[in-house]
Amino acid sequence: MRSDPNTRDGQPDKAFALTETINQTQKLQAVSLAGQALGLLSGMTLAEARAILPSLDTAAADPEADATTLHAIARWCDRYTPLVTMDGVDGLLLDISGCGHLFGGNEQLLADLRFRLKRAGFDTHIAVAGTVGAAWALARYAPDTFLQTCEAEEALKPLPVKALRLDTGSITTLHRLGLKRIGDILTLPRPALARRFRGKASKHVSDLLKRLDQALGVQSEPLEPLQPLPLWRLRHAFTEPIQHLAGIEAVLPKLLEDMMSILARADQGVRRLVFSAFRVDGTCQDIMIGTSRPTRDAAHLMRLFAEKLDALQADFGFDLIMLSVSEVEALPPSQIATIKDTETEVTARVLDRLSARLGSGSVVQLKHRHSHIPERAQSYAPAFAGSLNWESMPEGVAARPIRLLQRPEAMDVLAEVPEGAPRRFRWRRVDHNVTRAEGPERIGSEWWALLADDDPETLSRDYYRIEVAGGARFWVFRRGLYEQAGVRPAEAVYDPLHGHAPRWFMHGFFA
Amino acid sequence: MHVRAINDNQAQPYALNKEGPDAQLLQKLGKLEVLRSTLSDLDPATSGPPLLEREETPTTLRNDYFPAGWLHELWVPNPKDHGAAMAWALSALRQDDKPLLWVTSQTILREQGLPYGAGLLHIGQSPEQFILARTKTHEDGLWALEEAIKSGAFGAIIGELSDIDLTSSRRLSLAAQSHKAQCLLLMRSEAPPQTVAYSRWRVDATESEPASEQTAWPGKARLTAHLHKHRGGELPRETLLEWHDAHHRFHMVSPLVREPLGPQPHAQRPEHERRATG
Repeated sequence: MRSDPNTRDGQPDKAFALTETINQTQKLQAVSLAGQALGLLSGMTLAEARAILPSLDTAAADPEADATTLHAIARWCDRYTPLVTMDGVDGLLLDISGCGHLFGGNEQLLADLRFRLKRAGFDTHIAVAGTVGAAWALARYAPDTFLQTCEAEEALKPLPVKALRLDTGSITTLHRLGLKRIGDILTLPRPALARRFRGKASKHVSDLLKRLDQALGVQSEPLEPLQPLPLWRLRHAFTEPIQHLAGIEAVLPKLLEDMMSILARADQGVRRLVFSAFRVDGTCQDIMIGTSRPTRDAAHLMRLFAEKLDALQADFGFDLIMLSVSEVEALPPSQIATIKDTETEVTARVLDRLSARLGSGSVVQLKHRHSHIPERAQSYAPAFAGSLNWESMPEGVAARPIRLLQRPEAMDVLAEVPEGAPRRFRWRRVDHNVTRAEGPERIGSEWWALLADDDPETLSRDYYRIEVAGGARFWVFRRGLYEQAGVRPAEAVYDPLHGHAPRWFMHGFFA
Repeated sequence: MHVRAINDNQAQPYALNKEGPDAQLLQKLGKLEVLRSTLSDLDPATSGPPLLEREETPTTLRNDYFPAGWLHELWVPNPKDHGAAMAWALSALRQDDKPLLWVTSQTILREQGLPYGAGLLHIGQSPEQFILARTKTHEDGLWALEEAIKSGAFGAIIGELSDIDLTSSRRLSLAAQSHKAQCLLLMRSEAPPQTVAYSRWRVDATESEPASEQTAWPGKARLTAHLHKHRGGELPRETLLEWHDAHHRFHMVSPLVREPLGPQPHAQRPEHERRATG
């Protein structure tokens, strides 16, 4: 499924090639059918190709765009099976076990897949087999073969050894030995094979045997799906592509209700739900919502989706929508709810709605952390997700500000007092006269944090609660110490190696 | 006489003087005022709590500055006073076991810092009941406030905004009325905001009174609250509030406290007392 050279410029009968530069040589990466008819092959150098056809039209290949497109198609193939994975730069592997009946049989599934991809402008070679290895080989060397599980050996025999996904070294060795087809290898007894590849080549033979076993299904080869498999999934196909959100808004509540009745039977409640809309041009768009408590309320989930449906871009229309449950939590049916329960439920719902629109991580609670560095003593947790640890905060700590700057902001001290709060300072281009001050509260560095010697974090901080003329109360600190006690800062001589000149910072605000 | 500050975005009350040179103009103003009060009586939004209750005990004495069901506004013209306004807003709002939602924007968080749990504990607020909603755009902030008001899930809702227009504030005000929510806007703007809030207080942090003459430490936090507008008909005024550590709230400071105690000077004794003694 290379970036398709055939359909470029809408002239399928014209010889056209994509080029790539390998080792400072321009080579053909992909050739159109018309070009192939003239004897052009991918892998040929451009000079060679021009010798055959001087008027060859070329363009530079764009591997990144190819990969993006392939990934988009892989996501789109989710409509056939949740088990989709990318294979190399031009292949996709779909595990369609148990999915065929949804489309009226495997043949119909494949016909549908081929038809839709063709309509979106992609040519495909498709094969079905019982193993990844066999499917890989057949799709590339005998496309349009649909095998049942047990027929792999017969079908593979006539294929070239290249079809076994071997590296070029092994292939050359096999060719030298006269083993050109898979059938040739299968007839040889395995010990004999190992004997032929003695010494350095033994890695080759183990690789060869592994690939052979995988193709025949003797050795298992798991697929790693592109996306984690959903726990439950429901789909709704439209007879005609729909281009208006109203169509989706009409169907989605029904899907949600069906999904909720499935979950109710399993005593589960939704925590995370993904809505996927498949577009006609072979792309797929996802909308994910999360809830702070497990729920089975379809109307509530619909409201959460409604906030985000606007983000869908329908361009050519959607022909399939799918709803996947990716996270659940046990939610046994409850009989009578207390007022407290109802209140909690109401709060959880409005928080869900807020985080659905504002983005996850926007609606938070303040959580205590065990650190005496003020800005590290607080973290943020999703609302009502668990304990916030405030009960474990140490007692008897000096007053803390009600607001704390995310990063302490440096300020210019205009009049300084050694070992005391400043008299006058400028912060954010405003001068403040300090009228009263309380402090210092010394907060040492976290010596166990393995800081570099010249890291300013190694210096202790002396915090002062100050009040400025006009009444505001601030929390400021001095980083570092005056190296010479009792010497006025202006007269002190700082050792450039060890003594950092103390700097002042604004950190928080009191009432 | 003072004109009631009903429906009046201009803060300053103005005196009507019938003998002044501009009697005609003043007459017009008087008519306008009558018209205004008629209009405000017609508009259900401005007919506040029952008149008697309001007249008997001003909100400040009941310590209920921000009655539920109305949109209130704290206007902080100077960024340094934001902390004081925040503490007042938190401590003056009704306390029940429902959580409090604090809606704020990224801009204000950068300017004013994040609410700090350890500090909230110090002023008697429970961080467990404090939910912070950070919004990226102005519209998101307004939406979040409205959604929260309508949900009825929060004991109090505080919105920290730098700007609001009349239409949006009207929406919030109507939502607060119909859902009896306690909602307060903390406006960080140089210019007075244009809102239809029930009350508007301007907040200025004020220098504290130290515990004794000798100490150089800051005393209990003080702030001056200027009532600019009150649709319940309270007169514009200035109130000095001081933090009370045990009550975890601000109390009114009587200006008399500052005057030295002791016998009054002879000259200032009332007329009848002087006559009796002399």
